[in-house]
Amino acid sequence: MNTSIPSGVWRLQLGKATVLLHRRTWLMTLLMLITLLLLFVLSVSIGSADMSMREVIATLGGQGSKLHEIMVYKIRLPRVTGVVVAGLAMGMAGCLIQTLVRNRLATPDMVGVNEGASLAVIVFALYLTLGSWPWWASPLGAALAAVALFVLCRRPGEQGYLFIIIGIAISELFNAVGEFAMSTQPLTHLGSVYLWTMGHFAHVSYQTTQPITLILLALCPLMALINRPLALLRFGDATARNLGVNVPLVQLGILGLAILVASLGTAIGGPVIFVAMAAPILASWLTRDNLAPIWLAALCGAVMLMGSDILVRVLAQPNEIPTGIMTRILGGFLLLFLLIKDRQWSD
Amino acid sequence: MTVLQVRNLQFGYHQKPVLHDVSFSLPRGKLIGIVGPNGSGKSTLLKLLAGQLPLQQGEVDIQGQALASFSTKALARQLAFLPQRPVMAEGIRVEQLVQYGRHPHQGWFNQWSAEDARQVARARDIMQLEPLWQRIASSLSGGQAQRAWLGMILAQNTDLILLDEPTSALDIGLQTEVMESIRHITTENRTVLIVIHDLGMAARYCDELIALDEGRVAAMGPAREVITKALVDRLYNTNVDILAAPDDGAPVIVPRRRTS
Repeated sequence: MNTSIPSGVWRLQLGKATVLLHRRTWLMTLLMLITLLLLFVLSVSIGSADMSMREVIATLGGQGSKLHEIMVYKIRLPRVTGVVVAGLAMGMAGCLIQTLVRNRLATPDMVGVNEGASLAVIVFALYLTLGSWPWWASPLGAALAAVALFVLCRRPGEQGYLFIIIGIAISELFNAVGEFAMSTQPLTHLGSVYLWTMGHFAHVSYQTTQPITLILLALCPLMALINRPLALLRFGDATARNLGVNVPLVQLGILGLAILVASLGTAIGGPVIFVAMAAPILASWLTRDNLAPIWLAALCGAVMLMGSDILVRVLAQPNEIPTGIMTRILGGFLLLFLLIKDRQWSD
Repeated sequence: MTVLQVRNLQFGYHQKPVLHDVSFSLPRGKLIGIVGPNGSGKSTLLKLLAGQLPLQQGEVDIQGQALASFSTKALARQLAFLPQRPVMAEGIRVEQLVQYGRHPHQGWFNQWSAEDARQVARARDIMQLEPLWQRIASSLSGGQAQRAWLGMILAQNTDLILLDEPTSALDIGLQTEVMESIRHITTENRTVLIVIHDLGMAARYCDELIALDEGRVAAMGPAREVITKALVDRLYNTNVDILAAPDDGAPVIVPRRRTS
């Protein structure tokens, strides 16, 4: 049997540098990119006024009518880009935390990171009205939740279920405080904040999406760097260390990245359940192994959130219901499925 | 030069001492077994030597250089460590598992070299993994999985190999198979240090034994000299008979009764 190069990879050679590209992973990345593009155009074409996908493409190419330009650039594109960026961030964050804790149920929306992020945003939006959406508050709240989580549960890689159960408690606590904060305000004052807490993308503006996109882009090199040690962490701390991974440093890096990315994902359209959990599962299913890279999980996240967003808009027409309602329904089924599957394993 | 030198090693978890003043050195190309009752500090000693636990007191030199002076990655090129119950990532093929053994020798722009290919093929052939090469590693039986793990360790291509109870969950046939594979590794002039419970297996396959008793070295030397009735009786608080195997006289331990 030939071992001159690993099976299922392309080898790129540039002078002395060799880089391996896993064939299936890259084909699936391409597939998800195309899916995302198609959904993007479809999503822009859906709305109260009819517009065909062809007209959307023409408008995006600068060939559309004045009316279509206003519809696309002013009304629909802010929402759709917000959904894409939030989905990417949620997919990334889910992949990072699931690997760190070595449990599929451990996602930012389960362990309180998203609730911490939302609480901070709610508090700033309600009590310190600054005019613009306080998206930048979200990492503060998420970090607070993460610190609480790690003080109460020291070794996330060794005690997966304890980590999740403590996380659920923290997440409930933050949720309750958030609801308390909202209940002190008159109902008319709440409006968009309340909708946002259910995961609503209708009022997303570029002022929120733009800086978040830039931060995520800046984090990309770090993600690429962490991808290889991340794959080794799946063999447990001892084996990862044996293979030369500085385990505490990498874990800290993953944790920091995950909190930042998860909170930024939440800041755009509010806390959304399901995407962070399902995206890495879809990614590893697509690559047929559990070592799917972060970027593929991110793309899967964007496709799933976009799909859910399209679904609620089509189903609820002409009303507006929050996207988070749809993901919560899908997430409930997924959670049940995973728990039942897990129980079969432990029998 | 010795591959590994340990001087006055002491260690404790939360004030509770586990190892007291352990000193020894390992010669090149030998299979050395660490034996002793449960809780005598065998696994702790191995983890310390592997850099998996921080040193508290005493010195450990790898190839004449202080253990603490190696980065995690540089240490991984000097020694390979297999924990007692390693976690198998789901969905990994045996081929991928063995290839991960090359990680300490790779970098972001050096993801696969001719040397990587050579060492992976070598590991595969020594551990006879060819028929399992495309199998999903988490679906292998105990003996097969252990061989796959040893394949990963061999691909690491280190002079020193530390294995924590590599045979403890296997039946007698698979124990023999794994011990023969481990023996084979030492013919490449590599040093292998294993923690092992079965004294008969230890005496038959190991060149030398280190017997630990409550964190102290109780005896050290050629395997058949270390395994004596007096030592085994004392270490395990059990009255035993030691017989000689018919073909080569290797000690066979038959427990009679617990003494305390």
